[in-house]
Amino acid sequence: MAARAVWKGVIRFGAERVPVKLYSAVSDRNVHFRLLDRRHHRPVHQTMIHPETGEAVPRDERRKAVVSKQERTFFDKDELAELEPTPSRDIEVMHFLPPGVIDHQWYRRPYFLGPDGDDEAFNALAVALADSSREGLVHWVMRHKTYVGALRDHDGHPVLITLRHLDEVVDAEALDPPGGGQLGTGEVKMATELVEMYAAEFEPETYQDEYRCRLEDLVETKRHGKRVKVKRRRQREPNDELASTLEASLARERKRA
Amino acid sequence: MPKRDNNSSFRGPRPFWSGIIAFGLVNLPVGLYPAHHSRDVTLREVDEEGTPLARRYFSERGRKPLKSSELARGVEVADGRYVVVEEQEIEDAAVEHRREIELSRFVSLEELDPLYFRQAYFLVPDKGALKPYKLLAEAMEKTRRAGIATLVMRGREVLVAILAEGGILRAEALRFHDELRSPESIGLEEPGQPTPKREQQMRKAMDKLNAKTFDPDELIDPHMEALQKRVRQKRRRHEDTVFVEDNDTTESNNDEDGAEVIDLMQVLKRSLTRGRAAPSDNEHRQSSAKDSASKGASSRRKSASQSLSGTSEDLKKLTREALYERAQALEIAERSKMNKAQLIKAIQQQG
Repeated sequence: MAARAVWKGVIRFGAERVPVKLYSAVSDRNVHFRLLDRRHHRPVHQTMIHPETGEAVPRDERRKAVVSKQERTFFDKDELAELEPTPSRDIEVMHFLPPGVIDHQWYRRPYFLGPDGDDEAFNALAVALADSSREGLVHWVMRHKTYVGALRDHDGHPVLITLRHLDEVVDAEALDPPGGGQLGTGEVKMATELVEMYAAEFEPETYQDEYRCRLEDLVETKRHGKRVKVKRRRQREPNDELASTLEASLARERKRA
Repeated sequence: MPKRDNNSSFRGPRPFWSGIIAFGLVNLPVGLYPAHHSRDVTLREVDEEGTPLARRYFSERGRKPLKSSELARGVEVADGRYVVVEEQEIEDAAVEHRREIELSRFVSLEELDPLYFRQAYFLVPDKGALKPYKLLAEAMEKTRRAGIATLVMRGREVLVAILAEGGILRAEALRFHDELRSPESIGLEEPGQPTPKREQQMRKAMDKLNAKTFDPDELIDPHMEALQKRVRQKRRRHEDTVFVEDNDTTESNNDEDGAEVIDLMQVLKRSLTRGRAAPSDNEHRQSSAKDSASKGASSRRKSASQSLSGTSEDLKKLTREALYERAQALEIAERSKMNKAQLIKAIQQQG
């Protein structure tokens, strides 16, 4: 079944205009519970109350404020609306960057792109992105929020990945790499060999969300009034003696191979 | 639980998760710290005096807010018919807590699909684990490979890619395969072949914007900037601003988060150069073993699966992010607007 587009925009750079549709590349598979009134088995509703009096505060007496230790700074609706970014359909490309310049740490949420009227322009963009292997850094406004994103190729399909903003990411560059003494060349060699021995393909389809499966089972069995059983597993002890342990690990893996 | 203030070196936020990386037969104890944090400015719902309001749940006709004992989680089994799912049942579904990250699959960096990336954590070595940490980082950077493994975080199995960059290990929590759509499942066709002329034109336009790097300021959220600026301006002018006495119940979101960020940086910096001070997990295991011996199986299960709720002492030790994730798991509404104190309260009410 074809999914619906979540938004429409126009990718712009230079004289180029590529109208696109955004489709979420992520689907929410979590099991969602409703909050119920235990006695009546009915969904509850939420109300804002005053923390001291416990009284419900009606909507027209509620306001919005930025709260700090000593100050409350109020904002009314008009003022907030005024601060909101100007609505626009433009997805503006700032730069095209070599792969890796936008660290994966910034990635938040991916969207697949599809054409929106101008197939020729869309196809040209798809091919050019795939061939150049560059990533576009883009800005846009979607549903009253400003977004930064990475425009890139994904197996021939253009994708747009929203990025976290500057104030949301811990600056890795401000961190010093670990201290401590020099590593022995022998140890580095063995560790590198061990990594190579464990070389494998990225096979994400071989993993599944066990917890979610169990919750789904739980919900299913609840309908029949039963309970779900759980299995137990073992634990492992830490160890030291780095070089000899590496050697033993290599020996073990060689034997297996 | 016994107090663990005897690790003299420094205090800071506790790791989000701590455990052991098993690399071959080498065991490397590490702590995980979130690489992301929440926004600086948030708008809260307040009354006309500026008192931040609290969220409460009401039954359909009830006039009094429901107590936590009167609330339950449930699922709709038929149209408008709900069945209660007990906390214990949900807890039983939790994957048994496991402290190991078994690192025995290394994939080439090029093969890693960034669409899977969900959330990043820094790995910091425990005291005495600096050497194996450096060794692993170096070997991974040399081979240009990332480790793929699973770990158990609060009852959930999490798929992670462990990457080494500049001598620092980072875990990227990955989406599960079935959480990602494919272009085919969306109904998107393979893009067609453009005319050579059109393609050429597109390339030229792209080339004009080629850059080697970008200014981090381009990642600033102008909307947030504008809001922040306006807040400062209003405070300076005493416009729409009320001043209140400092008290605990209305702890500031901003100041608190700000302080946390600085602490986190310090913890990361210090742990990376010296190793993380607290060997807390061995102690934790011992104490929980004692607890369970005296209190029986149910308390053992609770500590093993890391129950979402906890005593307020336990919860207070967590960072706002850690609390937020718990709130997320408990599906507490409006959690993004809550400060630390409110999150603790809300989590306890659920638990």
